[in-house]
Amino acid sequence: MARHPWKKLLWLKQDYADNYTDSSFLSQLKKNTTVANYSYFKLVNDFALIVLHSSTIVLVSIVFYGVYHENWNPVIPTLVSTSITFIFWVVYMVISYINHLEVASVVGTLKSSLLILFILLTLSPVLKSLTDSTSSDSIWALSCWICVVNVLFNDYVIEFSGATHTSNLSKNLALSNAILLASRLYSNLAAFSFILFCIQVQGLFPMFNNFTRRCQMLAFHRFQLIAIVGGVNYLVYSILGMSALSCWAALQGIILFVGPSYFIRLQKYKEELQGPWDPVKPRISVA
Amino acid sequence: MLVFWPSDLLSPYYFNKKCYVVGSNLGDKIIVITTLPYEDTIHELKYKDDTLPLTIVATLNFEKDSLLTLHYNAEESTVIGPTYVTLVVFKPPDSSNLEYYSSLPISIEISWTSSKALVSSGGSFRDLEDVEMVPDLARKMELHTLKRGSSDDSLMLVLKYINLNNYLRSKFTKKYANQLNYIDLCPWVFNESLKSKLIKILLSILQGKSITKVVQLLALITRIIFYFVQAWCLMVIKALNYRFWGQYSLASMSYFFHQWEKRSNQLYHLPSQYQKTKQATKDSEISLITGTKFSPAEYIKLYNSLWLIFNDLVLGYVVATYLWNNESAASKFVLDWLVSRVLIDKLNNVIIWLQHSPAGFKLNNELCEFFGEMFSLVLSLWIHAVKHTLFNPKLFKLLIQMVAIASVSGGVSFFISILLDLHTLVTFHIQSFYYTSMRLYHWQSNIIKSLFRLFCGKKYNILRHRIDSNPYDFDELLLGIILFTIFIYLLPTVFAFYLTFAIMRLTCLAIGSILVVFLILLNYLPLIAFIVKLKDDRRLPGGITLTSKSSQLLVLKSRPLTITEIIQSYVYSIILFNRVNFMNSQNYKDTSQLNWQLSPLVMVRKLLQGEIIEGIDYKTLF
Amino acid sequence: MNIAMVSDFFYPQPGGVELHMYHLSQKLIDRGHSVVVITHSYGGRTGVRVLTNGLKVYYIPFAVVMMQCTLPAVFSAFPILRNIFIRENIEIVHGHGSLSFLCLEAIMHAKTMGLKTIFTDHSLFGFATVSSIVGNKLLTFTLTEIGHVICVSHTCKENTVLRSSLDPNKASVIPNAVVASDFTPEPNFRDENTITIVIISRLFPNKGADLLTAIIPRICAYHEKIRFIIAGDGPKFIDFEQMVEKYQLQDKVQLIGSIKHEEVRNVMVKGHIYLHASLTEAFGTVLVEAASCGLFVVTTNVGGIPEVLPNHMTAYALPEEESIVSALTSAIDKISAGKIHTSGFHNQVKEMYDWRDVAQRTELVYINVKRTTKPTTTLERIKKYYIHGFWGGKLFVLCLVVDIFILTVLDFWYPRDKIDRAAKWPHGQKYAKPQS
Repeated sequence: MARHPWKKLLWLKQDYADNYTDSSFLSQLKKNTTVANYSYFKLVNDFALIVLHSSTIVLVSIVFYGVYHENWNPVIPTLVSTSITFIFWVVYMVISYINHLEVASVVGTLKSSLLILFILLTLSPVLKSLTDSTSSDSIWALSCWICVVNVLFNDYVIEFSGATHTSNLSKNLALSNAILLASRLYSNLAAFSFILFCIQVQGLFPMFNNFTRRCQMLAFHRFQLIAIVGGVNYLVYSILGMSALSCWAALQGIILFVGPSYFIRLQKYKEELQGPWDPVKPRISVA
Repeated sequence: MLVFWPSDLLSPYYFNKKCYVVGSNLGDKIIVITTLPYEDTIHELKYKDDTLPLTIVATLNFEKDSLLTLHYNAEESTVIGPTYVTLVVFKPPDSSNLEYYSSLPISIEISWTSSKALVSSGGSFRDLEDVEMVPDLARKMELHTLKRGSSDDSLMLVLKYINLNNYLRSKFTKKYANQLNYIDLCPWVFNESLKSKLIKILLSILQGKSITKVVQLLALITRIIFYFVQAWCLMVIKALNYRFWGQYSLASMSYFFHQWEKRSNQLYHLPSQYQKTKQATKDSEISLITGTKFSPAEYIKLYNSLWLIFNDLVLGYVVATYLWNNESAASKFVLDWLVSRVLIDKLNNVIIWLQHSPAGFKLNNELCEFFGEMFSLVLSLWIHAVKHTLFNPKLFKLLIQMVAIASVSGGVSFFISILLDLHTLVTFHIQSFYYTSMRLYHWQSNIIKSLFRLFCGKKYNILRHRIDSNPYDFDELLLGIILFTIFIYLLPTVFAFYLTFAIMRLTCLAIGSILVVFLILLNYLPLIAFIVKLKDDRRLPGGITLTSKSSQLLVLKSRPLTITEIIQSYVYSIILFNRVNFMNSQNYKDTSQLNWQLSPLVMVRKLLQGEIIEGIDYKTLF
Repeated sequence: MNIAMVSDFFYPQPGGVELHMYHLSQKLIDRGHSVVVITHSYGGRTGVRVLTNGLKVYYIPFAVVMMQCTLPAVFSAFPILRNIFIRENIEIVHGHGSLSFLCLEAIMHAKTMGLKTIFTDHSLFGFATVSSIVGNKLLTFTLTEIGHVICVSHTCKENTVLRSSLDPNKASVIPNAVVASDFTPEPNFRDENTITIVIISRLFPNKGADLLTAIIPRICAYHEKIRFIIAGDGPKFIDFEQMVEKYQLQDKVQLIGSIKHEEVRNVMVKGHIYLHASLTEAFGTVLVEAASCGLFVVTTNVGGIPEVLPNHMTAYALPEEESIVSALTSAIDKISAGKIHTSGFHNQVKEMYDWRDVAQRTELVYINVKRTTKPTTTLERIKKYYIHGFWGGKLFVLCLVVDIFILTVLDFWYPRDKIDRAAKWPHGQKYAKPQS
């Protein structure tokens, strides 16, 4: 009597034991389907974003150090950053216009920036005295931790597919850090200009950088990268000296060049099993 | 077969004496009421009165026909029957003394209004029970609960006969004594208590004509006096409860007026309660026969009120004498120590302490200074207002004298209620500080909450009462973060002030609550229940017990309520009373709020969320 | 046989595992076995309860951490489990659900006590996330000495075998079933002027909620007569509400929130088509229920779903918006053209899935396990555990040794013969549901 071949069905009563294991068992098993051959340079490109982000954090810290310890005029960094921000904004408008992208209206932008400016100006006495009674050491420690968490939880947007909702956590943290530091400064003006500086460096600049990368202006992106990293390195050297710079540069080098190769090295330990049991990723066409 | 035998029918009189045993036969149970001496003429006895028929159920010391034969055993002074008979001996309760047997515990209830209100609002009260049974579920529940079976009913019937023992016996003998003329042969007549004889003698004296007239006159005068007192009380009650502004009446605003109203209410109701009680004593036997639940609750209520008032007055007199004698010391204590030192100087110190890093906490200097100055200003205004009006020494002396007069005439409860009113007045500034800081804290924590939602990219949809996700613009985000950081850093400062004042407020509440507890005890303590418990606890039946003496002999005893049971029953009745009052005053359906208020967890939650913490709302609940 | 079903998931919580345990236990009791269920306490529901036909449920008082799972303390339940096993004279311990720590713990302790163990897996797990890696390691540990494993579908079997490095012959496939009499069709309840699509699902991301919110407006636009009834609640409920508001579908889409299992049928019979967009599914009982109610099923072909129903009852789609839309529109067209006859579905499903059949096959597994399992020495056990990984193996052996030690202490402290034996429910006195 010929047996019917076994079928992978539950509703059918089949003439096989319940623990029958067919030769087709695990035939749908797939291994390592998502392993990609990463190119080293592509990875260096991506890792550079970490360097960029940490550089902006260091930039803010350095400027604070300058204003707090070296009695810099707090208005100068803010003026510089404001003018750069303005230039970037013009660039943004022009590129958007060329590429027929949707942009916020000029009046609206102006209105909201003025609003923020005035509110900051009004609140700067409050901000200045916010942490008066707390000792400076606790503020430095808190600020350090905020920066570390900021680096770890930043949303390093690499691919711009779909309407991804970027996380605002890192921006929130950066701004909290700015307010925290600003409250240690000596004058209302200093607090005001420092916070404004931070908003531009850690709030607006990353947005602009993401925008340039989205528009595939890689050369411009690299220019920004090199300018910021170079500038920060120079500042580190001029204020903290050679030893600090070498430490900082070594850290950057490790992130930039050792990181990617370690990442590629790790790929060979990858053993990924996939099959029909995995939750599939739904494909939803974006309207 | 069970034979229930009254213990007073176990005298040596029955030794070798032939008797018929009269009682009621309930199938497998016989309740013995009395005995008839043997006589040839009696063959059958049918006695039917009201609803309880009596027959000859057995014979004692001789055999006759098919009747059950029992024998009196002189040595052990007990009655012995065939082996299938078990004798249950009980002491017949003295129903004129309000003694009775009951399988269910008597409820200790001292408030006159609660049960009435429960009956009148029967429909709505059902909602309180939180039992909304679907018929299906109800049927299912029946399978899970013990049914009140037939054995339970027969027990009730047996207890009814036992409780009516004396009554039935007297009725029965009255009827047959005239016919058969052997009243002097029945033993129980000799055992009649001395007390009832005395009453008879007194009554016969009173039946003299001249005395009757005097009594009638006296009764009339008392009645007239009571009538005026009642009218006066009614007026007082009406006036105190007059709502002159919205929900507010004098009685709802001041403890003193509330207490006054309470006392007037008690006086107003006393005459009718007295009559009710008299009626109840008369009616008790009738209600036993008709099967309505007889309870000496009325009696307890009346004497409890009287005792409490008496108690109150005696204590009030003591307090008043003390106040008269130590007037200056008292005024010094209140004015110099309590008001000036504790409530003003110490409070000022606390505010100054809060301004300068309290307990080493690093608060925001500017905000601290602002708060400190604000509260100091209010405090100085308050000092000005208080010291020059009510609490200047001259006026205060007068006040103390008035308090003394009030406590002599109204009792110590008046004194305590005046204390409570003064307490509210004196701590008004603390209350207002607490309220201000609470609102501030509440407001700030709400802002922080909603700004935190902004952090997570969410917002509260006020139209749909839910949290929606919302992509914020950069400027909105920026503003939100700046405000959020500021508020987070200012929160400890606000919280420090809030917490300090909240603790003060809680202390005030605790002191007030202790006074309120005293007031409740003075007004609502079930004093009489305790006294009755000491004097004659058969009046407070909490069930029955059967103890076995030998294989054929059981002793039935009434189990008096224990002290814990009295307190439990009392607390339950008070809670019911509160619920009804609460419903009447607030028109709330949800009375569960009542039970929440005092739980410590709820208090902590309210403290942290910046909601107002309320104490016992005595004036509404009682 | 005396069987103990152990799981964190049981009544009063609703769900697939709970129903499976209940129905399987009932049918096993019918077959003359004695079954007790052991679960953790739910709120005030602590202690021993007896359900229909003497199904005894032990609600063990344990703290619930999250998602109705007990604290993963490896040994804490041992004393009480041992007590219950001895009290009820248990021979076979049958655990359900790999997310249930109570079940995993019970299997380990039962093995230490020398009882036979069975495990039923109800769900699928990937290998990618940290939690699933830990979970799989735990499962490997638990199933090292398992007597037999039951999986609810072939896909589930493949998954379980891979996750716990099990011998495939030790795993049987016994599907879930439905009480067909509770899911009878009622064509009169349908509104024949419309084509109603029913969705009954918890609204979670892994149930394809995002797909559904994308599809529904398109389908509503496709045909005038389309109506949707969506039952279920979850974090994605708001998305559905927003979708309805955005496209103004208030008169076409009815969101009725979460419903009880006994109400499912009354909702289902109002529809023509049942739509299922889950992204992962071990078995999909709800599909069988829908088919039993006479609904045509449109579903994503993920997990074990393709095994569940024959082709004439279902239309399969890829878990993609386009694919589901096309499958659904063609189903709608066929229904409105009257090409699909669903009247026979109920009787066919009744033939396919029956709890009696499930109980019979499970009983077979029990008998098999009882016959084949031989007592092992402690050394053999340690060897078996040791081979699982460098760190894992040593950890497993440590746990095993501690477990044996605890048993020795317990045997000394609360001797076996001091534990009362529970009286068994008299067999044959059963409550029969009146046949209508």
